[in-house]
Amino acid sequence: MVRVHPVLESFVGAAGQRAVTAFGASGHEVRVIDPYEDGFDPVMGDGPLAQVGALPTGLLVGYVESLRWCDTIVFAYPTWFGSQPAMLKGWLDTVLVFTRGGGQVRSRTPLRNIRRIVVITSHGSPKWMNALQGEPGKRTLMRGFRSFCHPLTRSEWVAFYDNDGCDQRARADFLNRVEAVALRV
Amino acid sequence: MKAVVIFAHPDPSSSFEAAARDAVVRGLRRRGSTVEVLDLYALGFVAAMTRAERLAYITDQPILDPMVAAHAASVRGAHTVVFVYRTVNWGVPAILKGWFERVLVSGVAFTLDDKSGRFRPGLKQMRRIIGVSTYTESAGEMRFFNDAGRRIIRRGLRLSAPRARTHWHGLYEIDQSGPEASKKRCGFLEHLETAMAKR
Repeated sequence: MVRVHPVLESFVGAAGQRAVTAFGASGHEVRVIDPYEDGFDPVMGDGPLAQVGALPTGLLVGYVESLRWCDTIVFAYPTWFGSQPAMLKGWLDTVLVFTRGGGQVRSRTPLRNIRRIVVITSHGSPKWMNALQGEPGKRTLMRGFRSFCHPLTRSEWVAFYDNDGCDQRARADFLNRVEAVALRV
Repeated sequence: MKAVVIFAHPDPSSSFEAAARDAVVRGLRRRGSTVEVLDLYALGFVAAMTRAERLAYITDQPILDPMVAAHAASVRGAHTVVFVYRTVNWGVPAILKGWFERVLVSGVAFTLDDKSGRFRPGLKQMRRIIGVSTYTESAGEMRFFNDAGRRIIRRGLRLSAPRARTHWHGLYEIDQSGPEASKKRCGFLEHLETAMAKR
């Protein structure tokens, strides 16, 4: 699970925690990656690092190893300004360079070990507003990231909308839904 | 008229994106605009929203960083905004995404109505929103994967600027080489300058 939120006690943090517990209960081994907690620098992949043949160093060694180890990847993050937070976008940009084998040596599906993508995300605005924005974050993961994984990868979009205008019950229902999805997977 | 150019590329001098930025600035000046360039990498702009900022986001004082406050003031006064960047993994680079999240907050890009909680646009003075991006992907690939950067700029930001027209200038498959490709790149720069100089 890649969990991205600067405030751990947030709603997304709670949803992530519910999913981790449920995955554990259904017999999965779970690793949690938290770039905020690690103090990851989301801009690092844009520099000279991303050159041909570069090898991962520091934090990136563990990230890349975990990506190659898992069969299911779960993203838990808040949708800000229509898509992934800068921290998650930067994390993806950086680790994808290294899973490709660095620079221009490109394998078509370098993460063939991944067969399932689960996205847990919350939106402050209602669904119609995100539709108007063109749901930029959704396809980045469901099509973009998925193109790195096994061709038969299944993906699930578990999204909460209208966080600014809803009541506590809707939030509690969403946490139950997250748990149900994690148990089913 | 004031134009703000937001430039997001780690190489501010010898990259193609830097040449594109210069063409944009020339074009805007020809049109008579005063131009301000915000070079995010050179300024060391912090990409990730911090915990303190996230907690302040819902308050009346969401801006804690003086650099963010300066950028917000620039955008509030701008008639035209232009984004110049290289598309990375189907969207804007993290530093530019962070700019949207940290600068275009409540009180700058929008206000939420106290009673109904409804979204009210905050950038009513803005008339033009322009995106300039280079891509390693082809235009067809970008259609399939969804150009998240273009959507954030042309639709997301547009929601805050109801009176603005939006324009997009993309140069696809930039990593090709050869005389054809370099002709295409030169043509793109000329096209940019002309397009910016238009009313």
